[in-house]
Amino acid sequence: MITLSDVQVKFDQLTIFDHLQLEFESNKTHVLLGPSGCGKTTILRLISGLLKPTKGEIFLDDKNITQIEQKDRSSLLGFMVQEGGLFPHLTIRDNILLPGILHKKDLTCLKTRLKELVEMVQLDPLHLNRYPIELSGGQKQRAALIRALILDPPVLLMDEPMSALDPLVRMSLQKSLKVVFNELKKTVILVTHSLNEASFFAHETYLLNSGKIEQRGSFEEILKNPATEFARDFINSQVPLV
Amino acid sequence: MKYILIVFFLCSTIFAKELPTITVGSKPFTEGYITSEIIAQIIENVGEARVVRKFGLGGTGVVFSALENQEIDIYPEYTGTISEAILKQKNLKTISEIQKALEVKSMTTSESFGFNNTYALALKRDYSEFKHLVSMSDLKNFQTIKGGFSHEFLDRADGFRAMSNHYNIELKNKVSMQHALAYEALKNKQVELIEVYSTDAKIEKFNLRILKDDKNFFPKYLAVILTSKSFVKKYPKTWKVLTDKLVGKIDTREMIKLNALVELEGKTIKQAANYFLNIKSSGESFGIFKRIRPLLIEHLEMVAFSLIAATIFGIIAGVFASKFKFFAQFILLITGLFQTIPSLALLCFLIPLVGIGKPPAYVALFLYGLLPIVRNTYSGIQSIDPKLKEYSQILGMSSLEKIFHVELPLASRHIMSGIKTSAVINVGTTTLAAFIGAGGLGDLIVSGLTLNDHRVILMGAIPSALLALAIHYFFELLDLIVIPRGLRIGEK
Repeated sequence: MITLSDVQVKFDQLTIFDHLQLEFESNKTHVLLGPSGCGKTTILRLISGLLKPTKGEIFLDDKNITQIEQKDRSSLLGFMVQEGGLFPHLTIRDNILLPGILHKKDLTCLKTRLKELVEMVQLDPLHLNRYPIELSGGQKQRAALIRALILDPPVLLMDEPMSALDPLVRMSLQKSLKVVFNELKKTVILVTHSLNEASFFAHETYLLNSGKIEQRGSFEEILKNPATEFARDFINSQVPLV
Repeated sequence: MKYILIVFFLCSTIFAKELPTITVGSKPFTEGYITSEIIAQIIENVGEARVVRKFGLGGTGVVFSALENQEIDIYPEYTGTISEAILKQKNLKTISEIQKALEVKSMTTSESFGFNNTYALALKRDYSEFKHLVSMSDLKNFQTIKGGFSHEFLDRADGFRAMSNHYNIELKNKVSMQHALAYEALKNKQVELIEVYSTDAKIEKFNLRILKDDKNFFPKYLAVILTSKSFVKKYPKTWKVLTDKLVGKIDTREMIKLNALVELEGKTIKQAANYFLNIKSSGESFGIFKRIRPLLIEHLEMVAFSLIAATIFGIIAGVFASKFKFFAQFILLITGLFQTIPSLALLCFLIPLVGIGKPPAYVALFLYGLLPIVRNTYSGIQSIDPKLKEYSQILGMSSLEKIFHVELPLASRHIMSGIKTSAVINVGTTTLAAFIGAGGLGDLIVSGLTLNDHRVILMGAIPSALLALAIHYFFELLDLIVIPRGLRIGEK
């Protein structure tokens, strides 16, 4: 369980969050929905350690992760960003192994794990020797997913990992992701603005608007009973015009 | 066998210790080279010490401060230069007065070699004999003689006008012309009287006669040996032989002849010195490659070592600048400042600090090499995609891990091009290092300029240009090794 306890985030005079209280249950997929600038990415940055809360604490189970070293934190959290964030000077294999090397993990173990993940995520093993620039967007995201999983962290944070892909590639990646989520039983927090993705993945959905949780529940619940006017508008804006 | 080698090694080091070295300096013009070479050969023949030659040092300031800092032990100088340029006391006339004034600096001179290298008036030998015109006082009877003088001589306060007053003469038929043209004008009878430097080789070539300065108007520039008092004390035998063989032994005609040997007859400096010392010149072959090779190696050494130092320090400073924004502008400003100092000036500034020869050359080349490397490292790191920087933060990399896993590899293209720029600049700047006795291909350029011999200049300039090209391509190849393949394929 990830708990954000009474978190405040302030930039100079601007308050993004105040008294934010959130729990993410373990081994489930949580989807943060909302328009740009609503603060959904900020929540991921807070959990990942890129951003320090001005007030409040963040717990992973009983562990207060606001206090621990970033390196220790990075072994608990896999992070996947929009365009992969793969290092262009490293091969795909070296990119994937880098977190393991930084944590001084045994190389043979890492390689075994790499092999398993490549199979599960359906990355062509030939791509391991290529450089990021030689791969298509979908393949790059598969590689980025493997990198996020290589240390076997209990938590997977995903910041719009599919928004830059074309629909067919996106669909195939979505399927792979679902397989991974089900098999590995990770606590996943996925940020997106697409209702489709939310409906496809979410055990629990959170609709955010300017630093506030507008509604929380199962996707169907939000879809059927929008709690606020904003929730209604947000849902209606994405209903296909048939 | 091993023991024999060890014994041999010990003996050789002991032997080497027993023979100290004397470093002989010279100024960068023919007469300076010749007289210094004569001094060097005499010392070698005495055998009290080994001789190191640091010839062609750039001018009085450089060569004298080298002597003061004991970078060189001995060199030939002119009395006029000592009193006016070194001691800045114009009233010192005689050599004993000069020696006395030099005592505060713990230095001394020999007596005069005999010749006097000063301004003089010259005319054709046959004309002089025909008209019985032999001294400057005689000019009173030839006030309509056609004179051709340099602008400088005509304009200087202690030049033409002072001379006219001193001898109470009035030469009305005078034209001003470039010094180099005056000889030709005299030969073609456009003028009859010109001003010359009294030991100029062309005096011999054009068969001129110098008018005797019978009322002592022109200042005396008598050649003497300039050295420290401790040198005289340390090498009494060498000093005695030097003075025996030189004092009063080179008169003006002899010096003209020696200059002519080199400048007009194409003899080497060594051959001219041998000629004076009555040593048969060994048939030295001056194979171009034999002459260029050691200098090329020396040149390459200077470029390589200064570049390695500049690379290490430059990258560290560049990384430092990228980490601490506050220092960034400061570091870039300081390294940029070095770049604006003209290279020859920087080399000269460094002499009092680190002496002459290789040390100031290394320091100067290092300083020149810094800026491109620092700037490119800094801007290379600055231009890294912020998303990648963020990802290295997510991974919890330490500063060092960030530098080695992310920043340096991603900035490698920038850094390499900075190093390449520095290398090419340094090949060129190294040629100037010859002026302060550091050697390298610049030696050939300096002595070529001195002897006005284009072949020698090109022997230095062409290899140095080729070296710059070679280094450029060497770095293109090095790029393939240093810059990660993932970045290179991205650029094609």
